[in-house]
Amino acid sequence: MLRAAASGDEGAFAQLWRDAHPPLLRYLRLVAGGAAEDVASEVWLEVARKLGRFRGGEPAFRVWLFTLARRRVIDLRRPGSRRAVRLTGEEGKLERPATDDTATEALDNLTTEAALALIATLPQQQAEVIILRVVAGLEVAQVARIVGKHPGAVRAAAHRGLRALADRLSVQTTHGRE
Amino acid sequence: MRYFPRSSARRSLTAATAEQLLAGRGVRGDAPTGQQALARVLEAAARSGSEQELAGEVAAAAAFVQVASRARSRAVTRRTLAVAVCVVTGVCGAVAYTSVMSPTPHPKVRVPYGVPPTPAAVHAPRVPASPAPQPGMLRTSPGGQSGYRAGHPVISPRASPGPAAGNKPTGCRLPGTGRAAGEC
Repeated sequence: MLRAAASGDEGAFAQLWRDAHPPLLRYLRLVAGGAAEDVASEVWLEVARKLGRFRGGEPAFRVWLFTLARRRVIDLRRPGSRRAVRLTGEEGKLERPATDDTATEALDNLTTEAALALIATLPQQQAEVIILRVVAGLEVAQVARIVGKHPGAVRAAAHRGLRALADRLSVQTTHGRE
Repeated sequence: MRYFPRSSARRSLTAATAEQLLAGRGVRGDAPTGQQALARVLEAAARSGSEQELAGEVAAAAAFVQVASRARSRAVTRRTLAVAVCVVTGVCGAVAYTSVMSPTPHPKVRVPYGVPPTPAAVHAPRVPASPAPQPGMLRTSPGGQSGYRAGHPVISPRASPGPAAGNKPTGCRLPGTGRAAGEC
């Protein structure tokens, strides 16, 4: 599919886009906030320009895609950039899941946006690592390459973030049952 | 009511369980509620794309076609230019090499320093063979000396200047042979 897309096959590129765009958008919502859609469009344009020169399989493509996205966000964060990028997700989405419902019901009906908003409440680095591992489906070494950190640091950040989430959810479910 | 729920969740979430959750494999049924809730959150975050997220597929594909065709035409242009440059360079190189290395129509003759080049040899008109010069006869030569020697008799270098030169004997010449007789 990658090879076909690289040779200009529109259908193959559409398939590639369908597979990779949702995780890319979710990642960008975390790191680029309101500019996520624009940044995603720019990333895909860059992919379209450079895909002919790309060599590697689908895992390598995912790493490349998220590396491009991260670099673009870093460019946007620089002072003097055309757009200011909020470092966290949109405020409305950052609210925790409603606590007036019972916790079980809330978790059963948990939307993707609510789940992402919950992850976004974590410190930036932990949230980024968890999104890349869970949503983008990347391995520790691949995430380490994207964020430019040691694999051990990536693993530790992910575990710390998961523990923090588990603590919060444990409290919520306990309050919901009471 | 459960006491210290955070501590219990923290204790039970081992590195192995965390890796299991990150890999999307969920948790066991008897896992603490916090971990089960976390598994649901992660599962919800990793759900396949919604319609809203996939709404821009047509626009993305159209942009891809446009960008890819432009990139392809640019690549073709670049390749054509490269080929043209190679061809021009090759032709120029070949011409230069040929002009330097090819033999000239008139081969050069190496002339020692200070010696003027000889004029091109021209065949002289054929002259009928003349009889061998006899002593005392006028010697005519078809060469350039004919004018000078015309009317001058050939004399031996050691021959006496003759009776007109003084009173020396003229016996330096052997009679009848025309040869010099040695020392006079």
